[in-house]
Amino acid sequence: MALIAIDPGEIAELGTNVAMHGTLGASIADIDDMFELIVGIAILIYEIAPGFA
Amino acid sequence: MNGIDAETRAAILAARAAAGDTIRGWRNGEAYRALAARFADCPPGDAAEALTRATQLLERGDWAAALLQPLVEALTGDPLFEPPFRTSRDGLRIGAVLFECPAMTLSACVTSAAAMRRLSVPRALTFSGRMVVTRYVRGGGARLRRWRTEPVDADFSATTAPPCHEIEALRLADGDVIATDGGHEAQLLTEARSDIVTLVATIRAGTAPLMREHAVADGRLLRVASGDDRASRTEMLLAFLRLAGRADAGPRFAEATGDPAFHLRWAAMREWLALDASAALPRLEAMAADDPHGEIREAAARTLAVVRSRLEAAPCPA
Repeated sequence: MALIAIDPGEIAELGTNVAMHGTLGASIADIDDMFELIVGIAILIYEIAPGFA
Repeated sequence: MNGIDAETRAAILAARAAAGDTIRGWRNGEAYRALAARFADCPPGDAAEALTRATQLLERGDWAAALLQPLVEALTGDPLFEPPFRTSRDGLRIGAVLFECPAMTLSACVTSAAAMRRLSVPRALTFSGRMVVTRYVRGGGARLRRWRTEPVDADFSATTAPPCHEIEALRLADGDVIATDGGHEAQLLTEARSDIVTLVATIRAGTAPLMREHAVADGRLLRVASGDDRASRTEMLLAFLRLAGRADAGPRFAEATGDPAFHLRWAAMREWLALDASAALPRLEAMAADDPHGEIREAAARTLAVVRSRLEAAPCPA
């Protein structure tokens, strides 16, 4: 049976918008948090599905 | 091509090749091992114990020079030597992470008094959600403005979040050690007469789930971000599973809709609905009925009507 997908534009959003970790850097300890997070995800996706993107 | 001549490039490569022994020697040295030993048996997840040990460390400053001395000597011998530190530089400050372990991250930072005078006063301050201890090795005669707000609770909402309020500022002196709980305390350095040099221990345990940015002018909440990289990583991976059409990953979506982080619970439900609404429906109904966060109950209830309508309109499988 075909999957029924709801368009994300039709799904309600929360009143509180929470940005990704690392977008509010507050200290030297936060160096590259966002960069490392995104690169880590990209590597993982590439390993799982090399032809995905 | 990039402005580095062949001779300098060769010197950089030679410096890198030679740096390994220096860095290994530094890590095997007394100062580094003493620092590691101080936190080696710190119980995982015990923020109070980590904070106590970090405070005891920073109440003295003599160890820092000993820690850095071998690397300073290496730099003196070869200006192309690269210390094994992650560094960060912006218009106001330059910093480096000196040491990391499961209990805490130790960084050093120099904040420029000249840049502070030149730049406009920040319009926002951040409640980092983290516990930090700072030793002002050089206070620079600066004024430390401080704010407080309420900690984030399980039903936190940006629409009802209280503003922060400013409390009495401190005039910094060399050697001051100040602990800050970023879950409800924030601060800004101002009016420095000379450069400020700090050693900062950031405790890993006990981090609040959200980081919050408030306006300096009136204390109102401006922006919210996740304080937990795990939640953001999960959110991105669920988006990938949806884009990859992995309906067989339903249990992963279901699991994330029960996460302690409210924003992850709803992000997971959004991804699941955008992949396989039939499978997600029972969990969506449960979230509308009894999710602990009011905004999720409300969003789930509104979305239920859309989902039921779509499922009812779908052709019945033969």
